Amino acid sequence: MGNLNESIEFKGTKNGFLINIKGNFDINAVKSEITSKLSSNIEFFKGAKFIGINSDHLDKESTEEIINHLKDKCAIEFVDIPHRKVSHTKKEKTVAKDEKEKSISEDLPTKFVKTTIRSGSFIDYEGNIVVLGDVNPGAQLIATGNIVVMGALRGIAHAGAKGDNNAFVAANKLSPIQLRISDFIAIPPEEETSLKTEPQIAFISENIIVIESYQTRVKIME
Amino acid sequence: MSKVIVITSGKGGVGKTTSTANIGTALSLDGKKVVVIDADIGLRNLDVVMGLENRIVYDVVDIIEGRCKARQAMIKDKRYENLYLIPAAQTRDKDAITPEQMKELCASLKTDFDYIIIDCPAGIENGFKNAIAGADEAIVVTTPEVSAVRDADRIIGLLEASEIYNPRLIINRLKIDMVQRGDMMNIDDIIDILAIDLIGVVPDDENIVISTNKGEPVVENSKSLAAQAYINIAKRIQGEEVGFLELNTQVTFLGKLKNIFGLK
Repeated sequence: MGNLNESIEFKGTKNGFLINIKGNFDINAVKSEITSKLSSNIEFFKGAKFIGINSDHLDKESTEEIINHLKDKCAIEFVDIPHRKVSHTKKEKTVAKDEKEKSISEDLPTKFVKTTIRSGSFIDYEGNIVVLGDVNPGAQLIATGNIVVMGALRGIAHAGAKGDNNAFVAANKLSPIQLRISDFIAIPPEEETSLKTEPQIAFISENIIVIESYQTRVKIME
Repeated sequence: MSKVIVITSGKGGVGKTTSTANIGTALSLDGKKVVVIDADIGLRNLDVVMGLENRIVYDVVDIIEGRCKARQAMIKDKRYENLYLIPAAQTRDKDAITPEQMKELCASLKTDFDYIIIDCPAGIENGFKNAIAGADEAIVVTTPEVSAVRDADRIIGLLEASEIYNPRLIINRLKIDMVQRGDMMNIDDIIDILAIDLIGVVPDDENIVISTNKGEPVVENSKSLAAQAYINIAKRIQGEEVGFLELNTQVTFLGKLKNIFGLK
């Protein structure tokens, strides 16, 4: 078993702190370790928002227990990531269960589109789609694999359309009307959350669609 | 070298008919022979806006169905030399003619005119298909509103699919004070999405409402900024390079500071 101190990590994301717990530890030990970390850095964490707890070994119940403990004892705020607030309606699965693809998106063929995709256009592809241009509002991309837009994604993108939860959508400017990955749907938050536009990537994490800065995410995937 | 230009938009009410009337008039004032054709069969308006409705005897459907020659249906404008109108039919609808027939009509007019300007109806169905059939070039009109830009984008896609490339853009009814307050899309936002060349920006102008109601194109009103914009558009159509109108009112120092920080 590793050192508990080093196994608990506070990771900053655009929407708040994520607490990563690596390894298998007793839930009470975890609770008290987190509490002590927070109180010894109280100035730093003052007013901070937390978005959740990530753990390989603790199940959902346990993480929720920890979250409730932290809310009570340390008075910290757990917020919903804006994307979570909205519909993660699981769409009706019309595809039979055995047709669900595993994550083989890396081996699927890729379609390159070298122009801007205008409103009313529709691209449906068994594989990955890479657009070297913008995707305008009113345009729709459906891919069984991943979607990458080297421009502004302002339309609708659906990656992992046949049920691949490991598919992702990346864009230089991710401002879609609606984002769909596998059976999950997300719509962007009401207000503009950032002034600067940076490349971002959307993927599924813990059953919701999460959007992160591309730079940060790629480091994790290495 | 005769040119057929279609003025289209997708969305209704953004200023296609007004633009057709004023651009046609401005071109004729520059000495060109111009015929404007109303392709909005069933909902004709070009004749009203030009003040020629009581002179209509024959219309475009009569020409195509062979009841008269093009010359007979053509109405010479009451004020301007070199400007003619072929009105639409009011009692038929857009299925009364086919794209091939429109194409033939436009081709037959090319010998006598420098510019043939087609006023396209709103929408993307048969009316639109008929209007663009004979066109060499297109001008897309939009207002600085999200819904209009959305439709304009669709139209540009459809034009490109029909092999009418490089349409040019008119942004109509721009209100510069709203743009400066951040309440209205600005020119760069629109061009960012539509990605076509700008041929003119027409500011919102009360004189337009007055003129269309009276049936007098606005271009001769020297006090109207919109008139000046249309005159410039006509010049650019003829290949002249004309600078865009200075529409900005005072940009305050605070305004400039805000721009630097990306605030509104």
